[in-house]
Amino acid sequence: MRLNDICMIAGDTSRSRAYLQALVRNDLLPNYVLVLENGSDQPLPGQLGKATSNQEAERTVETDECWSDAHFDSSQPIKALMDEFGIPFEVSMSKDINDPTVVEAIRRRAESVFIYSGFGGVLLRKEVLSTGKHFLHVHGGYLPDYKGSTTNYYSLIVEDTLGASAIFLCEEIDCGPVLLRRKFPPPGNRQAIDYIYDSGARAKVLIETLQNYLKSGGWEFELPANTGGETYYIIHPVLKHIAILDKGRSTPINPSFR
Amino acid sequence: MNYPYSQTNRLEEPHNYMYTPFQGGALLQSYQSSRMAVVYRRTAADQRGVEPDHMLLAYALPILENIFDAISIEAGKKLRALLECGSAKIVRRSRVEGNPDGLTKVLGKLTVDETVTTLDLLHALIAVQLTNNQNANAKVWLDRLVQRFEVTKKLYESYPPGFRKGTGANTSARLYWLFALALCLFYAKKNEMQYLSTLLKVCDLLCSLPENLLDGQIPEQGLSAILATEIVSVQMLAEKKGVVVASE
Repeated sequence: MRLNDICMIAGDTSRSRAYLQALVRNDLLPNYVLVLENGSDQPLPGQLGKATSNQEAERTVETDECWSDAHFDSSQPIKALMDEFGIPFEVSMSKDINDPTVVEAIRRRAESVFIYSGFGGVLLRKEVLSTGKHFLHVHGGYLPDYKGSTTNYYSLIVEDTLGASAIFLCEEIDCGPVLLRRKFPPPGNRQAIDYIYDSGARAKVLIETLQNYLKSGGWEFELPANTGGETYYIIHPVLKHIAILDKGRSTPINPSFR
Repeated sequence: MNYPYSQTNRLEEPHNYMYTPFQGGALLQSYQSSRMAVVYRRTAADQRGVEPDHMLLAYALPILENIFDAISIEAGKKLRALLECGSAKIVRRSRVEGNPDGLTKVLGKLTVDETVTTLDLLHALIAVQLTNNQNANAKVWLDRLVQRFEVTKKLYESYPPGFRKGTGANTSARLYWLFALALCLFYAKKNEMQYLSTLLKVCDLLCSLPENLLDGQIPEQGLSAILATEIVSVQMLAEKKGVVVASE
């Protein structure tokens, strides 16, 4: 099924690969994809190095439904998938969504909603946000409690869960209205959180958000006022290691993961 | 393995900590060994510091000891053992002149509409945590400094109105140490993980600095106090999670 009013902007990251494979699997094809190209040989934030992509993918161990979207092929480039399923796309030579040429390309599109899946560490500037489009972003963390970066490592330490929240982006970081949010149990292989499970959790929430949109015929908000909570900055590697090496619960205890 | 995050001068080459690789238990072991090496190295160095930093430290130490004692006898013991590695004697407040009360008043007068002197702000942030004068502004101002440090990995001498881009020097070890002490007190009391994360980054920076940038900037036992608080906090968290952190 083609989503006529929804398109996507994507760097070829593990998250974009998880998103597109989940969209295809659920027959929710975006009307168009604008690909942000990384011209460099060096991976950008969110991109797996060639040497590690298969190893990471092989480590997905869960069979539980809540992690179904973590079973994606992290080595499959997005262009190959879009060619295979006839999803129209264009390639921008800029990797930066804030580049004026990218902003103009966004403005020209007729669709009103862009699924956002650019490279990590980039904030959308006013010029992008004032194109009149909505940017549907799935934040890796349970909002409003966990705003900012690498919040899933923090929530693993504090409450033994991961989270993902679908929002429409606004100028303030992770403060847009929440369409849907979910908590997930800790994955069996915590070493694969950065590239696999974080992407899998976000893909799961993205699909459910789009299914809700189709069911209700519009965008409904679970939390219109996404206020309060704490802002987190990139977790220090010592704490990240403790979160990964944690000997605590690692199998899902609640398949409904809500 | 060598602990990579304080290997090079982090004022000259800041680390952005993005997508850091998983290096197994060895990373935790190298972290602890690296920190302990700094504690031992600094015992022979020039640890004079300046006032009121020495006084603030003398008031902070018993508070930190009490907090760790209250968590567990073991935690308090570990903290004291590490403090004693760094110095033959623990600084006691009965031996210093003055008290932190006067410094707390500054916090109420600060506003983002005016230039803020970082040294004054840090003294006030520490002082307010050492007295019974609870001030809700303390978290607001600490969060502003955390945000500035996390974004730039620097602390500047002052912040003009708006509290965004800093001005003046950003190489004062004294400011980074005071910031670390403010974070130690806040994390020890509140146990909120984001402050421990920032504390670890500030300590990475301090431990990465050459001796000449530290000499005369940090009071006696000052560095071992913040490193002891950080190390024991990490050890306690790791223990709670069933993770082993043993020095190499």
